[in-house]
Amino acid sequence: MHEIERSIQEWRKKLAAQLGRERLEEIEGHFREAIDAELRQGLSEAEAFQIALQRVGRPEDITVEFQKLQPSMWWPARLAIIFGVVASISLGAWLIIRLAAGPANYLLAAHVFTSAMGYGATFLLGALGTCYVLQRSFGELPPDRMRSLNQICAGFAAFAAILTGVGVLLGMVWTKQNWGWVWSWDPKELGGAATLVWLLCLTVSARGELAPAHVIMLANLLGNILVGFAWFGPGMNLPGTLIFIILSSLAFFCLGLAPAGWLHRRIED
Amino acid sequence: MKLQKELVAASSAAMVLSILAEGDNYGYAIIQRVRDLSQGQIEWTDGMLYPVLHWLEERRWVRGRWEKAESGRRRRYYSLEPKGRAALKEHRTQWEIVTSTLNQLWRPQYA
Repeated sequence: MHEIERSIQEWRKKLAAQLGRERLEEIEGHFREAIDAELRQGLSEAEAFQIALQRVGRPEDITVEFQKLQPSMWWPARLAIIFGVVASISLGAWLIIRLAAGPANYLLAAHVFTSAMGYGATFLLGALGTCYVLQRSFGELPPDRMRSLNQICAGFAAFAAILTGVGVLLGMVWTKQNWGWVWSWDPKELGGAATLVWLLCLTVSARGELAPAHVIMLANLLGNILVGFAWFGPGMNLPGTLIFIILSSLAFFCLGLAPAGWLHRRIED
Repeated sequence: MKLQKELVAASSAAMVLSILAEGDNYGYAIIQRVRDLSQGQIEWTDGMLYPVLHWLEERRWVRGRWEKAESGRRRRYYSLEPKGRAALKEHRTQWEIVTSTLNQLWRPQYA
């Protein structure tokens, strides 16, 4: 291998750990063109490599430039992920203990786990919407932050949709086995189906950027109400919880319609 | 005279979008175009261009595609998307406001 090729490979190796394959190939192509241009000027291979390196930049410098593009994750989103993981482990452990204690109904346990996780993730989206509205009251969030929030919402909504979908399906199998029907237009079933449709719409809208991130964040608050009905609605005998979810979600939704930074301005006045 | 780093960074998106408004292009040629137009006064570190292109692509202002060059190497060509055209219009308006304001401020000084 020529000396210059070895140097390029070393340069490439340092970058490979940091960049994706396509980005790396693109920058390497650029680097090689820059070297070729210097060689055509009559410079030696070593000189051409050094000049091209100066122009294109050291791998560490290129990496730093790319890192600037990635905003750190919004702290409420980090908190929501941690909370989600802890909640899923706790619920899973609780179900395992229950199954071990009595006659095991794995199908029902799996239905409870997936439905609760799907609904819980939808509530976490609502919590993110609430944090967003509160933070926006003090000032508009930068576009990069909004874009990253949109991506987080798309991920959360897709995760919640999968779990809710599996939960609904398992519920249908369980009712077929135990009660003899698959679907009976029961409010619980309707709640599950409505939540699933809502989450799919939210995933598509957020992922495809069909609606501005602001609209997605406010929609998360409306999702709270829907899941509130599905989870704590008919049959649960928890009118207080449901009323709290509806009123608080509506209040934050209305707050989100106010101009950005309104609270900050009021404090300053 | 070389331009300050901050000014180069602030104008990079507008420059890339403007070059792509002339037609599809790839990284190395974009850098050369900036160098030629500025007669070497705007000196980008070439590696700085790619994060900018990546940023523009993420916003769907530009779209990249691979093509094979005569040398046999693959090159990633970029083209301006409708969203990018709208963003360029906005960038242009903003830069025109800046240059027009500065021109007015500096006119008496140089008259």
